[in-house]
Amino acid sequence: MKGGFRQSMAWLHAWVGILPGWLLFAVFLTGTIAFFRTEVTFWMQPELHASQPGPETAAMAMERLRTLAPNAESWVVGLPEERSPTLSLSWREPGAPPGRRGLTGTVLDAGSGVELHPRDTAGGNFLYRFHYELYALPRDWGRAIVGIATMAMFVAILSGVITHRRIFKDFFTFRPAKGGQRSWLDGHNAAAVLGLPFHLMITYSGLVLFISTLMPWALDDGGRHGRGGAPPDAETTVEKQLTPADLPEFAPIGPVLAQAEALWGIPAGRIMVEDPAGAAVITLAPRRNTRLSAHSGSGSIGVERLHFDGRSGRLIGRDDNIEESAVQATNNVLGSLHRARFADTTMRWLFFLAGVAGTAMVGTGLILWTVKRAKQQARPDGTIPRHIEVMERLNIAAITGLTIAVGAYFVANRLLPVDMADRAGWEIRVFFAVWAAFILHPFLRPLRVGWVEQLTIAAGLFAAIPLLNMAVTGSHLFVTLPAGSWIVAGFDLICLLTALGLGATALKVAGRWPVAAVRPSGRGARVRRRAVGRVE
Amino acid sequence: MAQAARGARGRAPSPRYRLDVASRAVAGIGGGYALSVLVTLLLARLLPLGAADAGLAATMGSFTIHAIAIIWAFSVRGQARVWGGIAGAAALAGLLLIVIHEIGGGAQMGGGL
Repeated sequence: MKGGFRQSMAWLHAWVGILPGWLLFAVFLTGTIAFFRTEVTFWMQPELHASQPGPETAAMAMERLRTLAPNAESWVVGLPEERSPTLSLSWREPGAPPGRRGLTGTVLDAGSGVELHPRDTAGGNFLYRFHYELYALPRDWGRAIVGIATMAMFVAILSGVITHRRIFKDFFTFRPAKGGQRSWLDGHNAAAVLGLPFHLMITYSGLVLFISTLMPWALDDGGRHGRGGAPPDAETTVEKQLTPADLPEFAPIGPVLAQAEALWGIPAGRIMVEDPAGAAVITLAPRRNTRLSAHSGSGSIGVERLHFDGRSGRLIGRDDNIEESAVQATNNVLGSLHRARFADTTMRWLFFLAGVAGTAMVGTGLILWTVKRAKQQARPDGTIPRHIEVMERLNIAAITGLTIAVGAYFVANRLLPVDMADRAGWEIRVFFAVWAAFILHPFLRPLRVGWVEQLTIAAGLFAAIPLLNMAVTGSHLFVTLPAGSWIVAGFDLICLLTALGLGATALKVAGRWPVAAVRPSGRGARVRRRAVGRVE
Repeated sequence: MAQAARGARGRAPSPRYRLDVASRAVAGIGGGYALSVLVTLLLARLLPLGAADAGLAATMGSFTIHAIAIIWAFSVRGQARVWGGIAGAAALAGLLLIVIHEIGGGAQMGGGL
């Protein structure tokens, strides 16, 4: 039974991996980008790029709200932070509906206070939502489809670990020079083993985030735990129209923010003022959660709250939203980990890199599946079964096709007219139209040509993004690097790196594919030989 | 799966092989899901926690049960053991659920069982 068990796990690993594999690749790729969704959205609105926060930003925000919305029931200030250095102001006019719909708002340059008019875009949020709800499907359908694929991923990880008993040795075995199946196997193993804790974490926490869709039966509230309180009811109807001068003075906001930073260890990200003309309670929220076990919510702001008397600046209340139950805390930890809600910049980069490894794991797994079967099932005349040919094409469509679509989404962001009607919708339409074209394309081309063409186009597209930035925006690398604008510069540099990687792969594939030409070399000889058949 | 794994190497899989795989898939995916639901409901009643916590804890663990059922379905020899294992476990969980329901226990009983 010993050999039989591992063999059956290898079989299960291959099938549970290939069937949802194309979808999993898309989930991994868009989900990895979504770790930086705020930064991506910022990059996609170049009108905001000049914003540089100064020491007086918060005071300016309070002053501006007094002028803009003296009659409002409440004010909200989104302070500039490292992920998006702009100032956003919003307020609720008397009688406005509860929730986000009732908010009126504007975005300002955090330094000068000039009102900005960013272009209409779904930004990083489109990719974020796509990775767990897909698009244009009923919400629950999208979640169920991605949820089932995630379950398959979980089984694929477990069966993959069982299959690879030499898991640590495999990690140190990479033979790119050998080409063909051996290289894909080594790459697949390296990406999988390198990120195994991350892959397990992101997969299991993904399942747990889906519990209300996948396993609602024993939950007494449909899985919606602790999603903050209900928005306060709009009771106060102000009869008299107030002018800015009617509002009493506020305590200076600087010391209030300093108190919060001293208590939390990180700066506040949001200022909320209830009833600015009356009781004027100031509530602060931190930029991000300071504890892993805080519930992960749905926005990007932390859940802790500090309440201050707006007139005196005295701290009057603290609400840590700490979960008293260990089970709920565990649920929160899984959610926080998946969404990187607690992560500072360094941790966010680590998550991103691990996500890249996960994407590579799925991609190499897909290719390995077809390379291996094409070799095994090749007929004497060199042809391979039709279904393998189709799967080879679908790999191109899913891997480079999606990569091109993502690049096209960013390019469309820069090229579509700024004042276009439904601009955000058109960016998304470009994404899907381009993807559709590159799903068809590989079926019209020989396999290797299909790969090389798509890799080349993808490389060109990603190389074009920083150049396009130079042509149509003022925030390109020659400006952003000297200025230290790392969000915009980082995005452009990642595009260049992506282009280099895709270009190098295109050259490699153009040179040798998919024949396993074993080139004798000193390094290759030192690496222990293994029979391919033994490691399924 | 050992005997079922035969059939690769270019030759088209036999109808018998296909039926074997389909049966295991139904047992592991469908039967395994039903099993994980029953075990989750059972654990939600049995775990020595408050009702909401017990339900959440059992739910968070349910995916592991489903995964083990799938691995079981694709690894044991013979359809009888595939289906017997999953149906047996599900029947046991279901029976316990009924018993607990009938004697009016539940989360309040705590870990008394």
